[in-house]
Amino acid sequence: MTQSPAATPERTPTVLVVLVARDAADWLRETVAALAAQSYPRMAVLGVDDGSDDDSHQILEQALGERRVISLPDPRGLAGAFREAMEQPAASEADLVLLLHDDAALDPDAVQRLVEAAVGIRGLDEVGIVGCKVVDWDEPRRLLDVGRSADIFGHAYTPLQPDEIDQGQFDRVLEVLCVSSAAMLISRAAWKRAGLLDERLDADHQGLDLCWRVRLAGFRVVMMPLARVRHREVTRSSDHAPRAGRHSPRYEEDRAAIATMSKNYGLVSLLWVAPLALLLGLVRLLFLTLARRFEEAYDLLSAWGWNIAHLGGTLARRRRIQRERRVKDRTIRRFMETAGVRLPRWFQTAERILEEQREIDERDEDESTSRRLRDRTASLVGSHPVIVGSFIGIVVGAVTIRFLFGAETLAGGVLPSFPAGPDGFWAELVSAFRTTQLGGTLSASPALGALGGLSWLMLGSTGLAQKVVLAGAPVLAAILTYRAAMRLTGRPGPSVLASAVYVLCGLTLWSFSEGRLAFLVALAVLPAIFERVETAFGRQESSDERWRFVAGVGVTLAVLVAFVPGALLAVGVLVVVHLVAGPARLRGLGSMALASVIAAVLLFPFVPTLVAGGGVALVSQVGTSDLSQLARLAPGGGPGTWVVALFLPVAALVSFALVNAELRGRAIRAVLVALIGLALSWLSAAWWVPVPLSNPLAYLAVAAVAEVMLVAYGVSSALTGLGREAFGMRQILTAMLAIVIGGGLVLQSIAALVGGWAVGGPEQVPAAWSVLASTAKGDFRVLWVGSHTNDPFPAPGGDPEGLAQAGDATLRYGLTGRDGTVAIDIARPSVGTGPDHLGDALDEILSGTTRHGGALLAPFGVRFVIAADDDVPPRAQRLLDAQVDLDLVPAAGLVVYSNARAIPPAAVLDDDPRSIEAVRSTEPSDVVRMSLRRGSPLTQVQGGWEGGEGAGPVFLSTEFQGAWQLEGSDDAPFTAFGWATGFDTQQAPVAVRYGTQLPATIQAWLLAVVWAVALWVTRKPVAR
Amino acid sequence: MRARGQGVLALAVVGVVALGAVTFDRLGPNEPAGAPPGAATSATWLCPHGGGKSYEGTVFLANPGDVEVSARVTQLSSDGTEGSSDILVSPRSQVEVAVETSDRSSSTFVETFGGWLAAGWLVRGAEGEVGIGAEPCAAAAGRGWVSAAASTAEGEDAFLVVMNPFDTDAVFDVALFAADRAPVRDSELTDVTLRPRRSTAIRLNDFAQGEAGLGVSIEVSSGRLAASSLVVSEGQGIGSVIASAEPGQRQVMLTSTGAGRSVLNVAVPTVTADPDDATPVPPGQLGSTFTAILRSETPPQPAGGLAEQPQEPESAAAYPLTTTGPSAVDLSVREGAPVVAALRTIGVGNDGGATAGSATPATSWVVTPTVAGEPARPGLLVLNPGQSQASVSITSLPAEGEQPRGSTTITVPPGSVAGVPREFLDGVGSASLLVISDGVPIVALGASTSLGNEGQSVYGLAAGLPIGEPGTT
Repeated sequence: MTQSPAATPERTPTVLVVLVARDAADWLRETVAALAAQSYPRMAVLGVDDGSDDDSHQILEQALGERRVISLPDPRGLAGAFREAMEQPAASEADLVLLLHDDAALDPDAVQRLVEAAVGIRGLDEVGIVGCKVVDWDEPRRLLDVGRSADIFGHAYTPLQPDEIDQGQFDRVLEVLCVSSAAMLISRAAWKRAGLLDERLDADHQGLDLCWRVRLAGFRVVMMPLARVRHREVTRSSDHAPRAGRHSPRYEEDRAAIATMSKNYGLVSLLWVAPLALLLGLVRLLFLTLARRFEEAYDLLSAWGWNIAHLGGTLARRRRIQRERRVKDRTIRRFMETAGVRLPRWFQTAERILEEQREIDERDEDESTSRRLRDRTASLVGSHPVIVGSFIGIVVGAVTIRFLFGAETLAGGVLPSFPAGPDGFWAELVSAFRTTQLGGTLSASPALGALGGLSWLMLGSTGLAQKVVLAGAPVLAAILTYRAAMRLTGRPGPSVLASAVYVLCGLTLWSFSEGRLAFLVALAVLPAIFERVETAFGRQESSDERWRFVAGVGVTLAVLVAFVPGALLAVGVLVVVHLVAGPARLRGLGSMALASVIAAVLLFPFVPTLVAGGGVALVSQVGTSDLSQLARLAPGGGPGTWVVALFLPVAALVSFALVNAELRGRAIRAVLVALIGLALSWLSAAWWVPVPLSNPLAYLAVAAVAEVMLVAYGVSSALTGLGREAFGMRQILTAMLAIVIGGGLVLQSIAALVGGWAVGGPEQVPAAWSVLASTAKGDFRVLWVGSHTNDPFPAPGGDPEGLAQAGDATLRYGLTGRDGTVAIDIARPSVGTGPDHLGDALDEILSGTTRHGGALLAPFGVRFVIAADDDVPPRAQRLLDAQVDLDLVPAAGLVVYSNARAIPPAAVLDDDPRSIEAVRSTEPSDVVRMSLRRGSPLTQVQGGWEGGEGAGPVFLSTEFQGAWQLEGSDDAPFTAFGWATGFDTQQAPVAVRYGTQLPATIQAWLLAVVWAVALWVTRKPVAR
Repeated sequence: MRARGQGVLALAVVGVVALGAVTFDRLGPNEPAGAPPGAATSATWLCPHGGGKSYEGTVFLANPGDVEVSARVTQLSSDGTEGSSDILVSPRSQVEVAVETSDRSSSTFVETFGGWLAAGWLVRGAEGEVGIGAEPCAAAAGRGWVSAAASTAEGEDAFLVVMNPFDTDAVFDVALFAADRAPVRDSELTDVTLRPRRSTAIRLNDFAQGEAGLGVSIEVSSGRLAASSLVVSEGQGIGSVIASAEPGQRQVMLTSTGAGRSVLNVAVPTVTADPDDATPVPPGQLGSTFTAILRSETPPQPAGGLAEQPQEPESAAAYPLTTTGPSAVDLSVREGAPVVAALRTIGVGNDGGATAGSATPATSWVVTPTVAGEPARPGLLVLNPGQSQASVSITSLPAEGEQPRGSTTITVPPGSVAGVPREFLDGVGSASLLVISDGVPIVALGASTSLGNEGQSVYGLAAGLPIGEPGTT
């Protein structure tokens, strides 16, 4: 067994001090002087000039003599210089080596104390490394290092608080995982067995790596508090780190952590630590990407990349380390922290809060319990509104979304189903034709890229991504509302309240309940837009650079429109109000115009989709014309849409009465936005607003945001100087506001906690649909119908897309595939010749002149017509009942008609004259006569369809496009039923492909580039 | 702005909100536009005519319009469809389609495209079952049917003919009502499943024998269907009456002279006027009270003394009447549950006639033929139930290629029934008749005597079909 110097106490060990200096002329003399003042008798000093450009070399030579200075022509870094010194014969002869930075000034007895710790403490044998208590060079009361630990992933952790003062709290010999390399005493046996510093790592992390290895080799690492060293921390910042400046400190930390972990853990430990580290890294990467901290994300990826590139060197070192290993990993882990230590700021803050509360307790010892409780609460909320709000939000949120925890697939409400994998999103985004609805060439929303990316980050689980969006959107809404309110009021307390009010208002809770993922994202983004518009038109320009500001607004606008195009109408209300009542109209208009151009560029393939059909994409039928519901900002039912939801408009009104002069202009604009938003929402829901401008939800959302901002203004004003004023109406209104907001938030929270959401497990879908979906074979489409209201269809029908006007038989309707509403159709309207013909077919049925509605619906692939119970007007129901080819199917909870004439959305039809004649016909009067049989269905594949049997015409229930090609045939497609696509063919199986995919692919790549540029321009800057 | 001004502004906002709310409340939602006119005209006729061994059957398709109308005729039986045929019916003409009627369950399903056609059937008995049965077809299938025309009195066999031309099963319950017995709800008549594109016939004697007035109610729990009653009588020949989709408050049935004897069958299938009222009602407490007025060339009078006639709920009864000349029985419910009625008239020879008449007067009618064989005496009766005189023109709709007989005009005094002159009808033969009034609502019915099967005279009654918008329900 290796003997440490402690085993021979009778001999005074020799110490070789290796002083590594580089460009340290300004402080080196003091370091050398401190060395000269050491009381330890058997000490020699070897200086290493690490390629200095200043007078460091001369200072060393003057102090130590020429023979005791090694001069390196080029900088090699701390590790390289130390290695050079250790190759000298004197190093091998010394019992102990003290590595000393040029910016570390030892106390006179420091070496003495270090040696004592290395050889003379009873019970501490086999000490390999001894470190000093490191204090600040200029302010020695400030502690810099008292020994460190690390989490299991190799990230160093210090027990010190920032700027912690030395009060003797660490003045005992501590056995630690590692000590600072500023002044590190290493026994000969230890470095001989464990090796020297790993020169590949940066200076700050070489120490941890070496100490870890020394521990693995069976030695102890201790911190001797009586050995004090003052440190300038120059080495940490740059001077001895050859790679410094190219990456952030976090990069160096991550790189070193991965390398250290890879070298030092045993195989068994590595098998579980490495995957865990990878997973956490992915989560961090996601966070950094979403927060637009791209440089940090890049640094993280670079750290991984560096370790992959240097795997060979790491493995070579690992072999040597494991060969010398004397102890197991679990012995080392005793000196490590849990992974939770990565959240130290939270705990530090919590500790500080508790301390404050304890002080209040002590101060108010004589007060009554209720008084003390009140004071303490007021102090806590007043001092730390964000933390208190976050804590309550996390608790309420966690209980509220408890139904999301589980493997169950989400269903219910209008929740769109996600594709099986992330590539489903990307395929649709890149596809030159629309694979959903009735086809056509309308591009998919760029939002699919984000959803695909999120699904990919969820390890390919789109189900998980769906839950993340549902749970995360309200959180995002809270954060962005807080940020917007903070920017507008500058006060965290009111901003936190505004954030809470927004998340718990009727509209947000209803959207959550319904599973309106896209609208939830819009709700999250809208407060940011509100603030940006207010800033753009405001008196003071944004603190951001002008172009950066405009680009940021453009990106935000693009995100908003990508998910909910109709939100443009809400932005329009904001802009119009600010044009009328804003202080800087011209500047604001210019900024918004530029931002709109940027948004258009970011959405360029999607712009034709937005303007198709005269702007149908902007339109929604969903909303409410019920005035009481409108006042509650609740377009439908669900938890939190009850009468208590009135708390927001009431609070907004009271707040408006309270706003001070500073915020009055903003408040007036917010009131205008709220009033106009509410009015337009009602008018849209009551069908008074023309089609391109009709979107009850968008207007309601902007009204909600305006009301929330009014609350922020009001609370902010109320808190300003209230205590200094005499009692009066202002105080009464403030009290009223507190009661309304407090009561509203509590009751809304309770509603959210105990409420039954429309979205949830499979039980949220009507049983009749489940039976239908499981028993009906093959591909088909469903026509959802309902009365002339603003409600969505039963799950999974989604929202209505059209209105067939027929007096008292008027029906709203929507078309879906057999999976119901789908996420790949987010933000894409139902517009084109196919939907036009579908509307015509419904008009025919509702005109009452036909009894063959099933035949009319057959070309659209409609196998079922479904409505909610009691949601079909009696006359419309009679008309549907009268159709000879629509058979009412017994179904609990739904009214289901089965189409006896249905044909698959893509099929090879029977080779008989009737089929050919019917498919080629363009007149509904011919279509009703047809007696097509179901034909042989084709299977949808990437880029088209294939399969089928027989020799009849090929029919695709997708809008006619000349680009469709029948493989193996030169025949051009023909227009089927006046809008769809058909081919004459002689023999199946067939393969039908879309011929012009390349432009769409190029377009998608261009889109990716444009987004990358935009996000890079608006990235969050990172400190180097 | 001072704080007080801010308060005033807040109050102004409250005022604006209140004003807006009141305005919006008064404004209300924008009403949707009406349905655009349809271009894909199509309609259906369901003809549950039934049949018997060696019966001969015809479905008449009459086109009173100015455009050619196509039709697809599909024949059904208990074994399934017998195939379908496509037929074109020229404007102002009629096509006789011979249909299979060799089974009690035989039925015919007609789909029309491009315009409106009238469809009615006529079946002629054979092999000892003398007589004809004629009725218009039903325009739509339904989920509830009621018939009052069945009779299982001695020497009479009654069948319920049910057809399901659709692609899904029809599941239904049958209940039988009579005068002095509890409703019959037999297990064999419960959850009866009729498979797609099939028809069936249920012999009612097996469940309620000896009832001169037998009401039949069909409740469909799944799918939809159409039904009729077919009565084969030793003394009264054949009578087939289309069932009613729902009981009503008024029904008008016509008959020609016949032998002057008729039977009014009335069924009260429900207990109250409100079918949603499920409150149990003791027998005798509700039911229906109705009045039957006999209209003819003489002043109106209660038919058979049926003035304020009460009838038990869930019951059926047969009331004997005496008619003279062209007559109409105008039945209206005074109080209580709606009813379904049928008029059976003893005709000539051994054949009677039966009809369910019509519930609603209209200005335009098509009456399909009720004659079978030559010589024939076609008859057409027109009732004017209104308060002013009606001038009615009658035009024949002959078979394609035949020359139309021209037209004639008659005048029908208010509240009376008139027959069309024989001089005109004698030349019509087996053509359908287009009956159009000058705007006064009327009711038209065919009532003919002809030499039917096996050299015996037969008598047929068939209500006309009011001309409506094609395909309207």
